[in-house]
Amino acid sequence: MKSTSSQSSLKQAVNRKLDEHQLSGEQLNDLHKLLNDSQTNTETAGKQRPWYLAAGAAMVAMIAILVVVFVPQQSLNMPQLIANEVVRNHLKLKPLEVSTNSLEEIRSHFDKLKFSPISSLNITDASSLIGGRYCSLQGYKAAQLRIVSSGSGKLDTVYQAPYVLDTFGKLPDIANDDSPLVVYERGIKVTIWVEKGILFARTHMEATQ
Amino acid sequence: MTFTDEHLQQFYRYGISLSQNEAQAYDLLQDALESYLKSPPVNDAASMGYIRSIMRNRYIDQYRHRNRFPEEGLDNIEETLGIDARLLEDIVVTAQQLDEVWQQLSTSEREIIFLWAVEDMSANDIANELDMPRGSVLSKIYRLRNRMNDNASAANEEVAL
Repeated sequence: MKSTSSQSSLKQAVNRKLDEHQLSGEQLNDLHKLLNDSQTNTETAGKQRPWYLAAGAAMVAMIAILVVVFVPQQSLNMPQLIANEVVRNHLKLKPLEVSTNSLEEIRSHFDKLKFSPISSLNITDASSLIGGRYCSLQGYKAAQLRIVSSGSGKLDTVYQAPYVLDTFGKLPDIANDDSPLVVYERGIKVTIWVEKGILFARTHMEATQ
Repeated sequence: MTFTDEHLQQFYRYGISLSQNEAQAYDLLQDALESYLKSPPVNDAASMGYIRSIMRNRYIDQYRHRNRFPEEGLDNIEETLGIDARLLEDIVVTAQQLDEVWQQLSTSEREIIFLWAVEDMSANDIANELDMPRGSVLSKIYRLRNRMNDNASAANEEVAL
């Protein structure tokens, strides 16, 4: 394992150390095959089940429907889960890993992401970028950027994460002229949208009266 | 839930954090996915934590079976006053220092470091994930910070000499 004498934060050093361990292409294929085969087997086996198993399955399905109907929406609502994670981390105001107002410097810092952070057409209030740090959103490695809103003068947090339809569900896409989704979490407004294949989530702190 | 390559790599690194062994990390992940497929959680959004939980339990089972899983004493709640995961934020290390300290960490300490550094969890989040009292998490963080600092001081003294 290569060592470097240059110092970095413990968090960055741990991420770099663990990033050295990667599943090989063959191992990834085997795991995807395991996941897909199991799904196929489950579907095939379903056709051969006797009537009492089918009745049991119907009962389970009914219970599941009741659970979906009566369980609080927050636990199953992906936009709310996104807003919850974003607000939770916004309120922590953890130290920035990179302090800059340059998007180029931001891009070169976030070189471990599957995408390159971009400026958004939805952030048009000349808010000034002050830096960012690595984070994750629903398990996806993401960029957590911090801006000073020109409107409120307050710090806001902007998440950029890869948009994965299967995980995040359908969200407003700026390419379709959709308006951002507005969600409130702990009294803080969060807007969520998709732009150029990237999921954006931004807090909106109100100006002090 | 559909798992992407990135998800699988993340689980694998979690397995590495637990076992420090690539083959064992892969086995833990494979076993966990099989268990997950047999009985997935009702809430799809909880799948990530659910799989980590299966991996952790499987790892503990294996090591208990071999009587190698280290038993750790109860934590002193008094030493956790005023402690948070933020204590780790200001620590700077070289890759070499981290390699040295990493070898000395217990399984649970490596797991806490993983959840803090990679999953970006707070002490509360970690306590919830590991189903352990927040005081125990804070106590481990406190000792971890001291160990990291001791190691960094020793390295600096060596350089000074």
